[in-house]
Amino acid sequence: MTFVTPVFLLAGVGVASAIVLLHFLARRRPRPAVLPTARFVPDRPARWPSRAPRPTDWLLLALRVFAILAIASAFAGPVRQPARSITTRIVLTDRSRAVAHESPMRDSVLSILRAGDVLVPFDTSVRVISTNARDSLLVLNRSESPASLSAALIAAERVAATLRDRADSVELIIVSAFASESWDDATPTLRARWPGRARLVRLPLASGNSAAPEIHIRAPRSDPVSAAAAPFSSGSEANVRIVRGAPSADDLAWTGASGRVLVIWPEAGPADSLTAEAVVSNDDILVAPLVRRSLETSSGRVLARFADGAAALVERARGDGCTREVAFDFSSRGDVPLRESARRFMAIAAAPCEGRGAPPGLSDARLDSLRGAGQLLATSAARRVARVHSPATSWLLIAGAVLLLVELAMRRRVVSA
Amino acid sequence: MSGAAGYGELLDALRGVTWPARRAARGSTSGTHRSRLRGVSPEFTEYRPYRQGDDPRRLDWRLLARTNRAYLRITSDRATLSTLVLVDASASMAYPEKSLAKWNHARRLAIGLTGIAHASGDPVAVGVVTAHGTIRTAPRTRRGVVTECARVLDAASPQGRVDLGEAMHSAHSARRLVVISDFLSDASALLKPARALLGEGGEVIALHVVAREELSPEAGAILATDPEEAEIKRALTPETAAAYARAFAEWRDWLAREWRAAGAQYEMTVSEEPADRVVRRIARGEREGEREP
Repeated sequence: MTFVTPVFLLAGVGVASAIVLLHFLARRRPRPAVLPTARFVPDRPARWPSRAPRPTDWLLLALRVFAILAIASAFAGPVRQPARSITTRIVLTDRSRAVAHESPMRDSVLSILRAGDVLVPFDTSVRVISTNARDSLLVLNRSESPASLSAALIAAERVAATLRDRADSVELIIVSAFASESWDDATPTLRARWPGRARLVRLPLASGNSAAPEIHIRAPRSDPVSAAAAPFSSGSEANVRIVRGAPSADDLAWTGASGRVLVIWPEAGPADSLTAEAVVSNDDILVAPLVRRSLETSSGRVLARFADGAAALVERARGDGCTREVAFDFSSRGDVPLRESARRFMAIAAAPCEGRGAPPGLSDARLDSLRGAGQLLATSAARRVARVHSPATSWLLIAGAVLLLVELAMRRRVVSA
Repeated sequence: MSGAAGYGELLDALRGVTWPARRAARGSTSGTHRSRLRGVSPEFTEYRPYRQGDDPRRLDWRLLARTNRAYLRITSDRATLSTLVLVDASASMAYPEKSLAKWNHARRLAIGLTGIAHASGDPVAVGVVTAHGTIRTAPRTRRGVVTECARVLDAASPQGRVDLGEAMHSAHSARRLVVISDFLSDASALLKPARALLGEGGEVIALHVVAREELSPEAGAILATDPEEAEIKRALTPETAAAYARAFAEWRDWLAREWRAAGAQYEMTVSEEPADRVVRRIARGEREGEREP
């Protein structure tokens, strides 16, 4: 334990000593004694200064001394001196939509993370997890936001400043899919501010998740599928087209071009009945009352299945593009198309065709610049933190305030006695 | 102390001391004091020529027959003086708390005065003024009256607040009234009944008992508390001791002036003073500090 500004503590000790001395020279109420002629004594305040051989009001003295010391300690800024290690790691973990699955991300980080390391999950926002990082990692989910290496590097720089007293050097590890969208103009500058090398751990890049799909749908706005595709809605130039019911010849011909996806979504009739269904695709699941149909799966790839194993979304190659058939329709009532799970299913249905739509990752040159060269970062080179906030400060202030309140109540009781 | 036996030493010291009246007594019972009445006593004093209006029964008929001159035979009467000793038994008399020096001194003074009054042949009684009223003995001249007075005094204990003025008002039958008190109750209220008794030709002796600790309180600081008025709590410190002593002395001077101006005999006595000496001083009608003959 050390103090940021020990002069406050010294001042507090001085004040506490003065209080103890004042208790030896307290203004005391004299000893009561019967005197029939008391009326001839001048009527003055019934207290007078006296030197006590030992302090009276021990409880009051203790309350005052502890209150002063607690407040002085709070102002002095106590800082716990952690155990110092040679190297500490800062693990920047990409949890953005560019990461294909959460499991590889968790496994990669778990294999790296040691006790005392700092975990920094990031997408466009950043969290710093200094304690129980492994436990936090187990509940870390992938987000739908894009990654930002700039935000992660800024966080790493700040964390490194707090590690000056804990380690001699800091190793920066970036666990990411390194999607091209994670790089921006500020990234090279921010990377240059980190005067050490970084270790890069590459995660599988999510297919089609590097950018939001753009969908053109020929259906009225009141159509439930149109409502589900609204977040991705675009003009007729989009590479993804959704048709309700059977596709026309033009639609099928349009699909032949490179990278185009035709989603054939059946339209339920008024006589069709709703059943409670669960549609599962990788980590995503859609649970809702749906109008279910059956699909032929022999010549296609199943992208999503119902809970009973039947195909819910089947992809078939067509020319340089592909068609996808959906085996259910939403109810025309309710909010199912507006749910997040419906939006995710729509993103899966509109993802690029297999083997054709993998989003671009960072170029080798950018990866090399991100990796850097040289030694690990020496903590002495890290920026010094202007002010360290310790949780003990708040507690000491609260304790001091409580002690002063108790002292006030005690003093009133002693005076009235 | 139990009965007069406890006061034996005091009464022995006062043996032979008499307590003459300061004025001619008005009593009709034959006693040792000069009476205001004339003519009925066989003790001859002088002759005086008869004047119109004199009682013819007082003519010396033998002298008239022998000399043919009308003279009155003047004689001096001697009368008794009914004496009542009122003792203040308020809480302020129970001081100091451990020794009760003020109360014990007051009791000894009362017994001493009772003893010399009884020795003078006067009917004597004692009244102890307590918070619940006045406990009085009947005025008697018979033997054992001092013992009876001692028992009443010993049975009482000083506490609470008392109405000494009311007790003096109801003491009109006594021709000599002794008030033994510290006069810390309303001293002005006591002067009115005293003046009434003095106006009727009686005698009033105000015996002011003061404890040594009241004159010179203990060194250091105390929170002085009035035993009769709990709200009076004042810090008596070395800083305020001088002002206290001055105020107390001024009050004592004022008290002495008031009593003496009313015609009463005022005596102040400190609790350590031998009681027989105080009693002798009162019997001789001297003031404190006057040299004994």
